[in-house]
Parts: sequence; structure tokens; C-alpha cells
Amino acid sequence: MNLRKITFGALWGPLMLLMNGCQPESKTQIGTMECAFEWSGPLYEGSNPAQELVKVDLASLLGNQFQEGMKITKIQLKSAELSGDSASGLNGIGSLVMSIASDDPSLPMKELAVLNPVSAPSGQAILKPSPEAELSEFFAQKEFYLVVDAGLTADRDQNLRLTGKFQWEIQYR
Amino acid sequence: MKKLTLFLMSLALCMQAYAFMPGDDGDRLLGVWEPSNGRARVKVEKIGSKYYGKIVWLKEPNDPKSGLPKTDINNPDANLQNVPLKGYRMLKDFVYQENNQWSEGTIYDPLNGSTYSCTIKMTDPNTLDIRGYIGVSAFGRTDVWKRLAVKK
Repeated sequence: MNLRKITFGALWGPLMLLMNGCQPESKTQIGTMECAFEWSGPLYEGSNPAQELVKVDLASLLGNQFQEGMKITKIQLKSAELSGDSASGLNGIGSLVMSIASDDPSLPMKELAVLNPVSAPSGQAILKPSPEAELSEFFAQKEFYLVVDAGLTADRDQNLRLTGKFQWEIQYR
Repeated sequence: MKKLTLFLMSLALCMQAYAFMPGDDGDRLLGVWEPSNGRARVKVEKIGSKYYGKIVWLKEPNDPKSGLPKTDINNPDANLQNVPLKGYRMLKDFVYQENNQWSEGTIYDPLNGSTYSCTIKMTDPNTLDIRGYIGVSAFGRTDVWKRLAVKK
């Protein structure tokens, strides 16, 4: 019995190593995306969502690394920056939460990053991303929604517009 | 014959009323709802084609120890425990299925950080049966939520 096990291990082990060795090496690339989020006033104190439909364009994200049929193994949000149109653009915003959603019923919404409280005298807010959110399934769709919830500290009559700059860490073979 | 026509017309009218006006689509879920415990109010909104419900009011909005607004301290993802509870989406990803029912979604309990499968049934225009469960719908619990601004 033991001999059978040893023989099995001796044959199977090298075979597995050989198979793994044949797989192309995993590579990582950072892709940058920019998009704008708009809220139409009047806005009320508390959380106000803005959603932006993002068309997935891996060729644009990966640049000259992109190849048709390439296998994306993992995508994570690396950094998320939101900035107002002017230096006063983030005034009155107490918190910022960014999420991702899809129309596909098999893809549940995920929170991606948060900044609470917002302290951004320069008009730029750097959100803290969650490394636990794996997003390759969202990027396998044609499109998805990025949602930003702006937690306002008081009612606001004016419109609000924030520009988002997001970096995605993309692993591929 | 006249009686039969009248009966059929009345029946059709009753069925239409039961289907809740106006139209027969999932947007009837939009609005502000209150769970039976009265500790929170949840606003249902639409993102893409799915429905989401976020907390817009809390009976106790601040943490009694720190005095600061409550955050999602029980979130299993430690990176997200700083998300404000007011504004948190506790209902997620609901898809309208006809017959005043929404499914495929989840409900999150901020008190313990657990997420459950969930179905919503609108029993009248101002009442929801929210059923949270693990695995099979038969093993779950139903809560009755009321619409805040009553629709007449």
C-alpha cells in the first residue's frame, strides 16, 4: 500500500510541477481611469449617490501590454482620488464612499474605498481602498457602474461635480 | 349575458387594482421604508436595473461611547469599518421578478456584520415583507416594513 502511494506521488508530483511550469508567468500592470460624478442640486444633508456607467476598455487600461484573448486573473482598486472642480469643491462633504455595481444578477455590489471624515483642504480626497475586493468579474462585463456616495454635512442648493482618478492593479497571463 | 359582461369587467378592474397602480414594474419599491423595530429608515434607490436600500435615518445616530456618528464597525472587511452607517446600503442587488416580488438580493445586519439572502414581497403599496434567510428561504425570518410617506 505504501509503495503504491510512493509510486503515485513520485509520478504525480513531477507531472504537476511540469504543468505549473508550462503556465505563462503572471504579470501585473497598473491601469488608470478617470471619470466624473455629478449631483444635481438641491442636495440634502446625508448620503447622496452619483453613479457613472463605465464601459470596460482593457486595451486602454493595459496599453501596449494588451493582447486579444489574454487571461485576466485578478483586478483590485489600487488608489482612488476624488477632486472638486475648484479648491472649495469638497467643502461640506463629510464622507466619501466608492462602490462598484453591475446589472448582472450574479455580481453583487461591492464597496471599494472610503474616506471618513473628509479632510481635504487642497480640494483633493484620497480614499482608502479595500484590498479584499476582487474585481476581475466586473471587468469581464461590457460595462459596470461606479457609485460615489457623498455624505453632506448640510443641505446644499448648488450642483456638485467631482472628478475621479482611479488606479487598478491588473494581474494577467 | 349583460350580467356576465359586468362581472368580467368588475373582475378585471379588481385584478388591476390588486396589481397596484401605476404600471407593473419594480419601481414601486422606490421610497423610504421603516422596519418593524423603528430603529432605522431605509431609502430604496435604483442603480442600473437593480434596487438598493440605504439607511437614511437612525434612532440612535451616534455611538454612545464616542458621541461620534456610528460607522460600520462590524463589517467583516476591516478596511470598510469606517464607512458611515447613515448612508450604508443594507439592501443590495434586488431584481424585480413580477407579482410584486424582488429577489436575488441581500440584507445586511449592521449589528453583527452578517449578510443574508433576501426576498421582498409587496403585500400592499405601503407594506413590504422582507424575508432574510441563509441557504433556503424556508429557514428564515420575515420582517414587515412600512412606507413612510403613505401612498393613497
